[in-house]
Amino acid sequence: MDFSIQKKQKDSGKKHFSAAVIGSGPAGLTAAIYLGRSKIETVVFEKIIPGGYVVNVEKIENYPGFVEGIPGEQLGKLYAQHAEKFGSEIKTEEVTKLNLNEMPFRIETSHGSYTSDSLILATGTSNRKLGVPGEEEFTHKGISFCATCDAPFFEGEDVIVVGAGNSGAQESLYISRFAKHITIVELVDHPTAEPILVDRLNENEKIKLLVSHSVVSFKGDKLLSNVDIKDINSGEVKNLKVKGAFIYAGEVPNNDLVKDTIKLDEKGFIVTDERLRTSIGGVFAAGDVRNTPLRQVATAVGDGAIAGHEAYRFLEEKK
Amino acid sequence: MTIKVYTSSSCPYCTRVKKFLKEHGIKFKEINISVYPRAAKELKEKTGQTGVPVILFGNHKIVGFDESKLRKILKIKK
Repeated sequence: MDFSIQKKQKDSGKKHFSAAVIGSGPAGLTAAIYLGRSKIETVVFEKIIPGGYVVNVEKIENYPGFVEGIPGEQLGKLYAQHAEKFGSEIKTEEVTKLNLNEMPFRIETSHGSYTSDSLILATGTSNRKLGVPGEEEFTHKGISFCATCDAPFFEGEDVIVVGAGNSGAQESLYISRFAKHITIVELVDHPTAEPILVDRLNENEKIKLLVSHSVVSFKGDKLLSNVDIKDINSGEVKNLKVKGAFIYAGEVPNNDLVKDTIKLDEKGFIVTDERLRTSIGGVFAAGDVRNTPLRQVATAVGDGAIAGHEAYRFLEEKK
Repeated sequence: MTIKVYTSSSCPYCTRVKKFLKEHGIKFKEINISVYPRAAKELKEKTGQTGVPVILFGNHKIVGFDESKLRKILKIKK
């Protein structure tokens, strides 16, 4: 299998497409594969690199077919190669504005303007910030949202990880290769990660799990040096001396492009029906950005297949 | 003047910075903190940063992938 960085992406110079996909995570690129195989001229817009959030994950162990797991970065590259194989064009351009009031839809990006007859929103989520004092001040000065990027900065240091869900657990295990000691601070009274990950946390001597605690504030001088945490039950505030903090306290939908135009649920996720149609005809949503009960690579891929197929149906019915 | 790009192995924004510089034919020296952990310590002491990518060029320091800043400092037209 070739995991090398994909070749320079082709640029057809086209400004109009039958389908446009925003976001190149598992959902967006699967939609592009299905659209490409249906001979639909498709463009995928990605602001960073193909793969979406998955490229931040050191190893994905629960995606069927990869028995030993697969590094997220490699999986992202494979998805991109697969979408390009069937003719989709991937553009590394940030979408800055959408006009969904007229057909074809207008798409403004960091590099130009495009139009499309259908649209799939697969913009994913971002890590939720805690909104506590010191968080902004010490971001990249001790606080990180990407363990696979920044863990080497904390070689031999004490750190905290906020959140004991799947991301927090997985990243804690990764950070333990570098840090001396990790305290995982979890708001609820039990870790919410998969039991197999919880077992690994418990087996790791460097990791201590502190449930029913929340972060009150991050403190330091130029760099983070300590953090106040509160016991939810007793109200007692303790101070931990740490040089690093990694935050995995849930996610927020990347809905900026459509928050004023498309129906969202109370948490800001895009509302879809079972065919992944949104409140605007010809606009579909797939993957983590929509109101779905589970946000995993496997579910995003399923969403992408449905959205790609439904966009194709929409275009056929329009003819 | 040498452009130094501090990166780590699994960092999407680092890949994006490198792609941007290569696309514009700009040579740079990459220092991967995952391969050279000592470089992480040096970077932290020198710049007060604990995140990558960091791009150092003369007196300029850019943290993260900031296309408009890169274009401005490296005089790259759109």
